[in-house]
Amino acid sequence: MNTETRSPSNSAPSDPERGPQPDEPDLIVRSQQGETAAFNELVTRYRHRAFSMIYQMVRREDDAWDLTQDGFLKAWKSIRNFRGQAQFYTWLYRILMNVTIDWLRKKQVQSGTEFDDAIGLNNIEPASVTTPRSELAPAVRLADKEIRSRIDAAVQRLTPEHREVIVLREIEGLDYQEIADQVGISIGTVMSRLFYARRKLQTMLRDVYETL
Amino acid sequence: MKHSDFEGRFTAWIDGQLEASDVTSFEQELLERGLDPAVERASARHLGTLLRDHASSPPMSNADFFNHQLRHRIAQEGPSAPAPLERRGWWSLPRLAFSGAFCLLVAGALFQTLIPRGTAADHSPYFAEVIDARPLSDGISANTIYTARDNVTVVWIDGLDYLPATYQLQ
Repeated sequence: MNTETRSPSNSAPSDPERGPQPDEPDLIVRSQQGETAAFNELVTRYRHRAFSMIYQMVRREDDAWDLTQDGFLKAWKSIRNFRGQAQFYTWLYRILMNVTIDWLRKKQVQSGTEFDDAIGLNNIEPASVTTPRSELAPAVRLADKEIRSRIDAAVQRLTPEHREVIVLREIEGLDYQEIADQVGISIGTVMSRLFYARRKLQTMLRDVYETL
Repeated sequence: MKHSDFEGRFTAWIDGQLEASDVTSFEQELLERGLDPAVERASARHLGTLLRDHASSPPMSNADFFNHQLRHRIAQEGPSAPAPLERRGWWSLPRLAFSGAFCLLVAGALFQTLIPRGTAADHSPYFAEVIDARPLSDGISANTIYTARDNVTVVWIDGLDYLPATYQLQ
């Protein structure tokens, strides 16, 4: 994992709206021929999207930055295997997610924590408990930072697979077919994972609902 | 969208993807399971809103350094790995065509070397007659022996009391 000190300033030109750019297939072909400048252009195009996606999975900026690096490096190593059957980002996404999920699993083993995989329909409290109570006084409301912290904690208790579908559906807003294509699973599996992921989150975050 | 399992139907129902004709029966099923459809829907909606409202990720810091460091790591790693050879069966089309041509060639060579040509049948009108003859008795047999050196075919007929005069060789 990368531990080098990062540049203290962010003064270099930011991301590009750099006018006309070479089209993506050309960049891919040139990258496959070993042209690092072409690959660098692809990285520039997708780094923010990749970082954001990974951040939603790991919920820590430093880890997301490093994992995005590792993911792009892995993509470079295997770019000659890209045959163009899928869109480049779909291919890249799978590499990034594999890197992220492997990392999450290793972290789980190292920390000895377990993902909460035991919550099913029968573990869900009566839904009335999760009903938001809008009449609560502002003083009782949770601070935004605390809510975010609670969400992070809840998401981190999901398995990486459940995290992935929740992020793609609830945050990225993809439909079932798009999720299935991106993750490489069936629509039925997408829906099943969504069901359990939502139920788990509802159980873990029900008191947050109450205070909103 | 049709789904056979409860999880699939529940998810489709929450997301408004369940077919209209199935909604009523599914909501009835929820009631039978002790779940209030209205509350379930509201709960799921609030969860989605909560996640989206607090999902903003920070902007990627040091984005250009990100590229710089990646280039550095790529330089250390060396060129990307060559694409693995495609796993194809041995019987690709060119190889199949080559094998077919080779088999034909071998068959032709065998035919040329092992199958005799210019047989006695070319010279003697009786040869075919003897070979084609169907003896009435099992005790009658006819064999031919060809000697290439003398270019002579001997017809050996066994079991006949006599040879018809018309079959006598000149």
